[in-house]
Amino acid sequence: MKKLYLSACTSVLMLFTGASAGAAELRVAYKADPASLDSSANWDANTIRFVLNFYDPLLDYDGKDFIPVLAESWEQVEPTRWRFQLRKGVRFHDGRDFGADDAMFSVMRATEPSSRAKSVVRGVTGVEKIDDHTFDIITDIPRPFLINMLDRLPMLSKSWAEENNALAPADVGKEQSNAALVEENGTGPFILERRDPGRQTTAVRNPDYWNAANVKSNIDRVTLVPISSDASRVAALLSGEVDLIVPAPMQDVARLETGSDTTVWKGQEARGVFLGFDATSDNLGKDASRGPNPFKDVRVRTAVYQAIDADAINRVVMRGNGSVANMIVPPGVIGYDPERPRLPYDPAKARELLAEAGYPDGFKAPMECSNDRDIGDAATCEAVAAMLARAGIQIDLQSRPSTQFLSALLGGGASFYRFSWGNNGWAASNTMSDLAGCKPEGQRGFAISGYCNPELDELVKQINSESDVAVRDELTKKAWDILDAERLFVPLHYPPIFFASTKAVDDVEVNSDGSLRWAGVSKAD
Amino acid sequence: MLGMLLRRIVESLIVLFAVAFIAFSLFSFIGDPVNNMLGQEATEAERLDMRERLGLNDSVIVQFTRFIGRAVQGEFGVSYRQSRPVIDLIAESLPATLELSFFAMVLAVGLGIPIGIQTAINRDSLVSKVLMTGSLIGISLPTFLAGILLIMIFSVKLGWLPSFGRGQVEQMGWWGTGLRTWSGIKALILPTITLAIFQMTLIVRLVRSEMLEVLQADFIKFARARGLRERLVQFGYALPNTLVPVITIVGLQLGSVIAFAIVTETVFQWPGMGLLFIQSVTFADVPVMAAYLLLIALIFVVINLLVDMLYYVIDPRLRSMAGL
Repeated sequence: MKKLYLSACTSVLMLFTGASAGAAELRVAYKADPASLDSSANWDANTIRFVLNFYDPLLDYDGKDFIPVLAESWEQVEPTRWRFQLRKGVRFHDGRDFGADDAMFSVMRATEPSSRAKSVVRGVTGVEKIDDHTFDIITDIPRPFLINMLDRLPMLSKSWAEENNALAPADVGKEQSNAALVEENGTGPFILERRDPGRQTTAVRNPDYWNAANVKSNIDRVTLVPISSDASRVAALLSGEVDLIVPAPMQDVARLETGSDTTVWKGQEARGVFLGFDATSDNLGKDASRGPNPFKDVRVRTAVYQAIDADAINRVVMRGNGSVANMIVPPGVIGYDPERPRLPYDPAKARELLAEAGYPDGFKAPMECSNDRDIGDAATCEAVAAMLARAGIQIDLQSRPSTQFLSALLGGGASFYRFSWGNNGWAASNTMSDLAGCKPEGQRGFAISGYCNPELDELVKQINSESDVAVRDELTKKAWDILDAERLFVPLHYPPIFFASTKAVDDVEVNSDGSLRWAGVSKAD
Repeated sequence: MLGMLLRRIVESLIVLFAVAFIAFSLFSFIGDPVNNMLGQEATEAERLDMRERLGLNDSVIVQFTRFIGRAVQGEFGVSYRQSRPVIDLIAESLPATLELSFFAMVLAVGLGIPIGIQTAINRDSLVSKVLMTGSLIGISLPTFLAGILLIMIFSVKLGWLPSFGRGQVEQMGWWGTGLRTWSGIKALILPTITLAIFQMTLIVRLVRSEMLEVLQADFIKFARARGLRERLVQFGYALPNTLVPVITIVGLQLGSVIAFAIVTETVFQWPGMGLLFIQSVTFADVPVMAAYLLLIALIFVVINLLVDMLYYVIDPRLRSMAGL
């Protein structure tokens, strides 16, 4: 009993000292804990960006240009060869020097059979060392967009990985587990202090950060906790137990904005929300018993487009915080064209088109929708269903958790769906081939329309290997024209991002991927 | 006695097997874990390759046989989401759930039985009426709402107690306990109350109705007729007879508190098995779900067995019947 009392006393003491020394300590509540600290073993947006507080990539993208991080410069020395000049004098957290061996190792690590990050290094066939701070990446075909993906790939230390049995990402199939999942040794602005997966992670500022001069943040310690329930996360902020919540639930944003103790930080996500169709199958859900597939007719797809008031969805469902999309790719992506017009909202025209297509009284169709994947996804679907009902299309809405939703989409039974697509390597051509490229039957992936146009595929191929920007833009425009004529997609909006903090937090950079860089936060003493 | 025990153990094994099989046949409906594991840019070939690596292309029967074969040896594989051994994940979260469930049951029993007795003995007093109305609220208030209300009052408005987490946890071997630090004890209070509310009201109502029934029984009437003091009649004769069914229910409720602490754990971000399970469901983390369901089934079966044994100990009639 006495012992218990003593330890209780010391922990109260610790609480006090912790509070007084934590003038620039930041406490953040995330919705979900990252799955691990090795993004090549857990390739999900949450883990990828969390890890980049500990690790640095070779380069970064600021929405307009690629900027040097651990690589000082890069160029395509041959069509299939990229050369990277690495920064000198960079050290890993345990003091090892960063050099070409580490960078080469990190790139090839993503190509390992057990890697889940293969999409980052697609087409990479090898690496070659030029000197201690220069190396080449060799690709199968000319790949001008190779560097676009590298902003997400962390640079690990080769010798550290060797010592910790983490040369390859842990292979779940073989039931492997390794140190890189729970420890880190990066070059980034923060050093992991302690990680208790699923409960708490603490990190301290890297005192020897190579880029310290450019970090304005005064945060020297961060405590990160996951709080999955939206209401509880907000409560933790209101009670002052955490300084910042990522993200803030949309339904609480208005209250947090007007609250005297809280601030809301907004951004726009580099993600396009859209409706899509199965434009080729004869029957709904590829099932003859469910009747013919009306979305096979481009007039029906156009009618759906014009029957939907995207502005109203953004105003009501997104509470005016997103922005109406004119394309399926978001601004910032290479190949995004701000001038490309939307089809106007025109319910009368929609009815006319439906009648022309042979559906004067409309029809019935199922719609696939997620309810936990994006901000306001289920509510968006309900709004869409209501708008289509006015045009005569009766929607049988299937809103499900994203695991089931993705299985439904990839299972190939979806005829009409709401989906969103993040930027894929900041290149519209990637989105085109992912969502509308020719795919072998049964392996459509997310190209659910089933649409296949060799001309479009050829254009995408040219765009992907064209280094001349003006020519590339012209080709991209042509490709969009082809896609627009088909109306395979109805662009809806670019969703908002909300973080919320107490008034003690002075500045929060909201990244377009919805992630938080701790070095982008400042807090009053 | 021994024969009964053996029979019950064999029955328990059949139950465990059945639970595992039902769980496995349901996993195909929660979606494909591979889509969560690889991200949207993965090609279909990469997805197929991953499915093959995980053995998800095999039939349910093959997957189930493999699972049982390894579970018997105490192996539950690696989590799809965290790439860490499932055993480790369970070992980390089990103590949190057990501590929470234990204190919730202690609170529920500790308050529930006295209140039940009070409302039975003094049926028409004002206090009893207030308590019974209160228990009605307790039994109909959703756990989620109760938790949020407590957080709003004690964390947000008053700032006395933490709204999430388990406070500072100290390791005692593999058991991480929150009971040795002040912050851990503070963190335990609100989740315990939230989890206990429903159980407590259940016990109050059970004790009350049992007691009322026993008080009408002939042996109580005889005891009163003999002129025994009312206190002795109530606490010496009526109460022990009331408690037999109460013990059964409390035992079984302990199982369900451990298994269904999910809502409370979610509201308070209590890092127990319920939270682990919910996260696994959203990710379709099959190895974790399978191990969790099997463990919960095991807990139920063991508690059930213990309660049955206890019944024999408490009730002499059963013992004599078994002896015959």
